[in-house]
Amino acid sequence: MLALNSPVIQQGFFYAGSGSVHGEFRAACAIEGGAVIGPDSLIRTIREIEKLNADESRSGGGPAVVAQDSAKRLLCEAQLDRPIYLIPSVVEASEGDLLIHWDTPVKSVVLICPASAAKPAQIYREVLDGKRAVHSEIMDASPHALSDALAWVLRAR
Amino acid sequence: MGTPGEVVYPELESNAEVYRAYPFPDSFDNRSGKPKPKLFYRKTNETGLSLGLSPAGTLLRYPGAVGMCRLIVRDIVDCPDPLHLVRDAVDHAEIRGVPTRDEDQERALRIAKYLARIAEDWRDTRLPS
Repeated sequence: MLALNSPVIQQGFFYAGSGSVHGEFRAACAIEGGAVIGPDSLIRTIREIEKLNADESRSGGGPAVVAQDSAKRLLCEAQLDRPIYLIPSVVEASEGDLLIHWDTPVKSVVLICPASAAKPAQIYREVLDGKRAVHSEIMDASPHALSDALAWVLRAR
Repeated sequence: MGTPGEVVYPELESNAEVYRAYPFPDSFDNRSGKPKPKLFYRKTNETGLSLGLSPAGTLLRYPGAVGMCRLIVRDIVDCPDPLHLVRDAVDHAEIRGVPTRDEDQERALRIAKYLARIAEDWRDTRLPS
């Protein structure tokens, strides 16, 4: 089920593309600026985390297991709170931390999962005017806060 | 003014182009055609973000680079967070004023995302694809 009640869709802020590849139905909608929404967002995000781990382990730059586990747990629990439709723009590892970026032309959310269990996961949010951030904030992450942030980033304003 | 004996380089023109090397293939996002924000996270052992002033100079300094992006000086200093460029060699400069993520996670992310947005991928046929 696509988020037909999403303000992004209601305001016509996207274009749709779907098709069948090797018999597997795929549906995704790309928001202007590159962000993509789809019904399989959660599984695609988890696949991206695992792909990143496989790709970067060769250069020693992959995310720590703690960071991956924290991200997967937060995403799965946030999905229980409210379905996640937005597919990340960037999933990256830096010094063992895992950072997942969801970007639209006017807002961004980043989930930061540290390599150390001693540090809390955080959520960064920003509002853009062109390429400049006009407002930003950071908070400790929880499934509910992540769910809220991902709903917020899809709202046009 | 520098101290006696110190070489002082002229300031960069506001429309000058500067280049940041990609150390790894995953520094670049194929989907967006832009560098990833991680390219602009400052590490604790760095004083600033290293920039070449020409593609050739960047490759000479970072021979293992798998690519690079181009930024315009005016756009860098136009960042809402105060950044400045320090030229410390004929063909090298640094972006100063960038905290590490440990020092200030919010500002570090805000700056890195801004720099990733203003950066343009720069392709050279001498680099491996």
